[in-house]
Amino acid sequence: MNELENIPDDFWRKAFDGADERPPKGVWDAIEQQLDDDSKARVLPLWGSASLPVHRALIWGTGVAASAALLLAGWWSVQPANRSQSATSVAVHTSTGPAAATAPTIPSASHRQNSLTLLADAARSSQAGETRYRQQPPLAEQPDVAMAMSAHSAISGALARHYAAFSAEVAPSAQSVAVQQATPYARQAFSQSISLSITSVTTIPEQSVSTQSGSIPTDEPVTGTVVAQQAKNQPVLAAETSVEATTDATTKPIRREKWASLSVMPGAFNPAVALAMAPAATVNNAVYAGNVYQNAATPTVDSRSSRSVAYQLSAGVQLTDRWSVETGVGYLSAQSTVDSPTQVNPVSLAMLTTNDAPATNNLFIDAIRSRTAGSANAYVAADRNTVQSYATGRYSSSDRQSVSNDYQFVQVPVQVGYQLRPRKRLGLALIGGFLTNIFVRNTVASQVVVTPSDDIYRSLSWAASLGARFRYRPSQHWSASLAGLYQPTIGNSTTSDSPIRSHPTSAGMSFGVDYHF
Amino acid sequence: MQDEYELVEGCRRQNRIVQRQLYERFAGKLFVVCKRYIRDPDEAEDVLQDAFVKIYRHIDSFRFECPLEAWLKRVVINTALKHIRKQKPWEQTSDIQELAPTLPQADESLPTLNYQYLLQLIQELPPGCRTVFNLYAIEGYNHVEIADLLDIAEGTSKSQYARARSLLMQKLRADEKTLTSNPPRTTTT
Repeated sequence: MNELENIPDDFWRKAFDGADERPPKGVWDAIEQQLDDDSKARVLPLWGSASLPVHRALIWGTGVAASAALLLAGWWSVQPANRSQSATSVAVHTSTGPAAATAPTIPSASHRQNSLTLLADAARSSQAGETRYRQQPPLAEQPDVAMAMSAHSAISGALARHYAAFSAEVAPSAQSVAVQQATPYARQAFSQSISLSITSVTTIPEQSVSTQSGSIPTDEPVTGTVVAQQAKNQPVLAAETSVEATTDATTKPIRREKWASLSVMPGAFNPAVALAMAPAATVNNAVYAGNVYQNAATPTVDSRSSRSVAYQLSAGVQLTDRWSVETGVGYLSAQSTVDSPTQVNPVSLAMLTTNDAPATNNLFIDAIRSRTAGSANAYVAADRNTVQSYATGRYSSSDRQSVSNDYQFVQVPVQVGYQLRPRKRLGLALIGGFLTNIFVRNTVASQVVVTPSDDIYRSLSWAASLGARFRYRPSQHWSASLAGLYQPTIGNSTTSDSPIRSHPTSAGMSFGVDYHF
Repeated sequence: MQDEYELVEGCRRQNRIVQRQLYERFAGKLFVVCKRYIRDPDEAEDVLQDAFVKIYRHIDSFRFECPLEAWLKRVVINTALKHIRKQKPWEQTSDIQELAPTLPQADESLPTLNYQYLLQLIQELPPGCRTVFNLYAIEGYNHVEIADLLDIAEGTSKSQYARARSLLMQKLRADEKTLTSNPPRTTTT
C-alpha cells in the first residue's frame, strides 16, 4: 500500500510513452474530405478560407444572397400559376399580407477482460507448443524486471506478484503452456501484456535533445515547455513498446449524426382563393335600380391571409459535414378570410343592406354549396335555395361579405439542408424541399365543413418549402432552432372540376427544440 | 530526420500520398493523446481529425526547430484544449467514485501496467482534473504554464492536480485491494 504513495512523477509519462492506438479508417476519410473541400474552396476565391474576417463576411454575404436567390426562385416559380388563374374570367386579388413569418473505444473492460481471460485460458491449457510466451524467459527470472516491479509502484508490485505466482505455476512446465490453441488475438493480447509490463519499467536514461520549439498552428498561445519536457523526458523505447491496439482498427463508417425535433411555426396563411368559373351574372347595386342585370360584371372573390400555426415532429440525419436530410409529420391549422359578393334576393333587394343579408349567402359559400349539395353535408342539403342562387348568378359585387375559413392539414415534409456554418455552436443552414399537404377539412363560416369526400380540395397537394434556419447548440445533445420558411403550393390544391381554385401559401417563423443522438 | 523532412516537404506540396504517410505514421500515437484528454471516443476522433487538418493547413509554420512528433503532439494538445473549452458548458464533472461501478471487477480483470488500463483511469477523472493531470504529469507543463494555458489560477492548477492524483490513488488502492483479496485463478495440469 505504501508503494502507491511513492509513485514517481514520471511514472505516468513513461506509461504512455510509445502508446499507439490506430484510429478508425473513417477519421482519415473525414480528413481527406476536408482537405478536398479546401482544394475546392480555392477554385472559388470568393468563398475564401474563412480565416480572415473579410472571408467570413463574404461567406455570410454569399449565404444571404443564396437564401434570397432561393426565395426569389421559389416565388418566381409560383407566379405563373397565379397569372394563369387571373387569366380566367375570375380575378383574384390575393393579399400576401404580412408574412409573419468502434471505434477503438477505450480498451477498458471488455478488452482487458478478454485479454486476461484468454491469458488464464492459456495458462490452463495443457497442450505443448511453441508460443510467444515461451520465447520470453519467465518474468520472475528477470532480475531487472523483478527489481523494477517491486520498487517502481504498487501497480508494478501487484503485477509482479501476479506474474510471480503465474510463473511459479507455469514456468516449471513451460512447455505445457500452450497458447497455440488460443486464438491469434489471445496470443497477441498476452504478448502485449507482457511486453508492456516489461518496457514500462525498463526505460533508458534521459536523452539530451534540443528543446527549441516550432511555431504552433493554433489560436491559443502555448509555451514551448511541452516540447522541452517531452524531449527531456523522452525515453528510448524498445521496439516492443509500440503496441498497436488492434481492438478496433477496422474501418469505421463516418458517423452520421441524427436528430429529432419538435417545432411550432406561427405564421400567415393565404389560400389565394378564386372562382374556377363565374356564375351567370352579377348585380351591381348602383345600376340595379334602373336597369336590372344590364350591367353585369364579373364577380370576384378575394382572400386575405390570416394567422396559422403548424406543429411538427421531425427527424433528420447529417449526411456530410454540410448536407442533411430530414422528414417528419406535422399538423397545420390555418385561418383565412374570403371577401365575396353578397347574394341578391330580387324580392327584397331594395330593403337589404349588407348587414341584413344572411351571413352565409354569398358567392363563395354558394359555390362550395353547389359542389356539396348532393353530398351528405347536412347543412348544405338543407339549403338548396342557395344552389339555385349560384346557378342563376345573382350577386352584388359592391356588397361583399367576409367569410372565415379554417383549414386543417396534415403535413409531411421532406427537406434537404445545407450548412453554411458546419460544426459551429451557432449554425446556419439553408433548407429546401417539398411538403406533402394532406387535406383534412375546411370549416367555412363556422358552418360548412368541407372534407376530402366533397371533392373540392385535393386530398394530397404539394408545396415547396424554402428557408433558412439558425440552430444554437449549447449542449452536446440539445439545440434550439429558429427558421424562416416560405411554403408555396405547387399547382392547385383543389380538384380540376372544383368550383373554386386555391393556391395556398404559408410563411412563418418556426421555433424548435432538437435532440441530437 | 531526412525522412521527416521529406514528409514535411510532401505535405507542403499538398501531396495527398505523403499526407497519408504522415497520418499513418503518427495517427496512432496522437490518437492516444486525444483519448487522454477527451473521454468520449467519437469526440476524440473528431479532435484528431481537426488536429490533422490543422497540421496540413499550417505545415508551413513547422521549421524543424523541434522534432516533428513533438510539434504534432502540441497541435493535438492545443486542439484538444480548445475542444474542452468549447465543451465546458455541458460537460459534467463526475467524481471517480461515481464511476467506480462501471469499472471491471477484480475477478474479471487485472490491473496490469498497461497504458490502456491507465488511460481508462485518467479518462474517468473529472474533466478539469483530467486536463490538469495530463498537462502536468504527462506533458510536463508546470503549474504556472497550465494556469496560463487554461486561464485559471496557479493554485487551482495545483489543487486540481492534487485532486486528480488523490482520485487515481484511491482507484489504484481499490484495485490492488481487490486483486490481493481475489487473486486470479490459474490452474496447472
